[in-house]
Amino acid sequence: MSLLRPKSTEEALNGAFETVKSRSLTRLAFERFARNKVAVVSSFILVILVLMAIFAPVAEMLTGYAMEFQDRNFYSAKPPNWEARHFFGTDQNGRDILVRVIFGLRISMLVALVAATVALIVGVLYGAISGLVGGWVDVLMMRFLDLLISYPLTLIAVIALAYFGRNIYIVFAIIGLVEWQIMARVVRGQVLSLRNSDFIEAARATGAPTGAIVRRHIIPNVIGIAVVYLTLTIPEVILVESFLGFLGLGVQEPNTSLGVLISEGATRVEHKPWLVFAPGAFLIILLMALNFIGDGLRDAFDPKDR
Amino acid sequence: MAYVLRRFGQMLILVVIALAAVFSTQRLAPGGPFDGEKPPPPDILINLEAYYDMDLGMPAQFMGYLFGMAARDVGANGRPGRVHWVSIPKAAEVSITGSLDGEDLGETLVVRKWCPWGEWLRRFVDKPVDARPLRKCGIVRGDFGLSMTKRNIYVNDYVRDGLPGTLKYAIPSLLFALFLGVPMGFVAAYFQNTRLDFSMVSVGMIGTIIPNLVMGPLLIYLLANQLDGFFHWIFVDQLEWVELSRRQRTLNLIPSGKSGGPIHYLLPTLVLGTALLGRIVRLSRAGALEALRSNYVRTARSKGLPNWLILFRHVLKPGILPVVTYLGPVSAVILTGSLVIEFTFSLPGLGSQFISAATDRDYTLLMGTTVILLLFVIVLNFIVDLLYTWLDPRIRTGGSPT
Repeated sequence: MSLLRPKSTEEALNGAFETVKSRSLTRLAFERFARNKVAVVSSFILVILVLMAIFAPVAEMLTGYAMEFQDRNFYSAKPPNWEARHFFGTDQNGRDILVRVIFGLRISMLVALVAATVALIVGVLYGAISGLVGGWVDVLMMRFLDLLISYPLTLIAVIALAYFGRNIYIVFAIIGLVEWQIMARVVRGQVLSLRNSDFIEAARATGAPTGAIVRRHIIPNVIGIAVVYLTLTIPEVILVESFLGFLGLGVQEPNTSLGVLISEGATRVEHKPWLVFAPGAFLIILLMALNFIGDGLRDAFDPKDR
Repeated sequence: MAYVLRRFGQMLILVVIALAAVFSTQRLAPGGPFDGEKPPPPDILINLEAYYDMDLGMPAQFMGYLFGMAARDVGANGRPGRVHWVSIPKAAEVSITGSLDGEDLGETLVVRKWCPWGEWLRRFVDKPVDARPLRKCGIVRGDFGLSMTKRNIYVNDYVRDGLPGTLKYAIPSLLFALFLGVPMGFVAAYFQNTRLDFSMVSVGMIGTIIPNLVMGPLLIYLLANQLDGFFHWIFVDQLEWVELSRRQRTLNLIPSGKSGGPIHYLLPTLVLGTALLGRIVRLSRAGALEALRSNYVRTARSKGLPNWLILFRHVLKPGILPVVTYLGPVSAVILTGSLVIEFTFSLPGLGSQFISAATDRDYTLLMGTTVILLLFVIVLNFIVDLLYTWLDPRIRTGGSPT
């Protein structure tokens, strides 16, 4: 029996080197992500939605209605009409809802992307400074964060938007400033655990300068978790944006966003439900896809699972 | 006790910081309460600004807003007013003469008792309370001042009218989410990894997946439209009860302005409550699972205690703990949610006042509503903290909470 025959050390080592190929952390995470069916399907849906948003003018071409075009025959919100190619109906001014929803999707995604980047930058900087400097600075910054977390920043965003909301870049920044606290906390935790880890200590023992340690070891290790939490921040930001749009703040005409479209339909839903169905469905699908992807990525990168 | 005091101090600091932030941003931001489509002539603008103390420096304004301000003469037609000190008169009504509209010098503003609990508070303040005849008790003494765009209306009155509209749906929806979500979470934990568990969690998830700005219209459509249509179909088309009046035929679910029967609570409560339900189910499920796996539950089982006793005595408290920590953030969810339901159902409430104040640059009204909404969130957080210390002995004894 070959199984019972004791192997020599050399043989065993050779075998080990043959079978075990080194796989990087990212590759492992991707494999784990690919096994998560919901997340994969969600990423396909997200890709489709992103393509729709990027090539929004194609919708104008397909339906034959420009976003601003007011169809005289379909004034005051008519239900879906396939002959006239108003697939989702028209709104109060006779504009095609499908086209408007796709353009709204575009603005919502743009806001989400930029605002999430703002949140990423603020959160990572805050968390990294707090974690790296340590000491009383850390205590003070974390205490401030504790205060902020139990604080409805959305209210402040409402006020700020009412005052400065004319400029779309300010809208981006304000929405981004609502959702950075979790990011800051996660990054700080990661930085702290890295600071106390053995390989950083080893690097320090070999005499590596602090700047090099931060550049070579801390930043690459923080980026992964920051990206994961970025994907979880994006749906939050989209929700905040559509909430503010719903209240009539934020994106102004002629631009539109999903929240604005929903608020236009919400008051008439009793008699004209199609006004709210299309933007609502798109918002729900978008949020669901993003949330599932974010959860999938977090599970894939979570070291506890390994 | 020291912990409670410290939390209370933090709470106060937070409110003051927030107030300072709102106060300074709104005054530094472009635009003001008085430049509408037709701005007032400069003389009157000077009077108006003096009337609302906007001619003072910002720190002085802020301190005045917080602690009340010395009485100042309003001044007439471009003439700056003098500053002098007056104490709060005992009378409930005071009339002053002012010249806010320029031409009409003899206009008399009848001012009602402006400081509801000033008399009561005076017992605790050594020095006599100084106040300007108009408002100026400062929010410390419960006076939010006079609205800037709606002449002669006190912010206090606005808040008094608006707050019930906001809280009316917040409390039932919180109760709904708690009393439905916690048992659902416990059932899910008890029957872990069965079909029941899965269905409980996914029912809870519906509200989290559908944001409440979509949930409102959706529920109106499903319950108010389709269900009513269904009843109509049954009673009128099938059973031919045509003599029913329209009022009897419909469920009349949509809340409308003033008339609020108990059935009107259904839709707003569902919209707000389902937003909370998912998190509460998941948290209570996680808490109950942890408790069910613990050694003390195994001990209780081995002693032969009946299941219901174990659930109530050993699993309930630790299972609820994560839900209690979530109740702090819940206040913010309820707040944004109540803004949404006020818009969806066109209800009167503090949220719509808050937004209109922000867009109209009504400084005092915005400050007043912000303070109230903030207090709502912060006080709830404070209560949750107290509740948590009471429930979790690890904090009381100085240990760290997990």
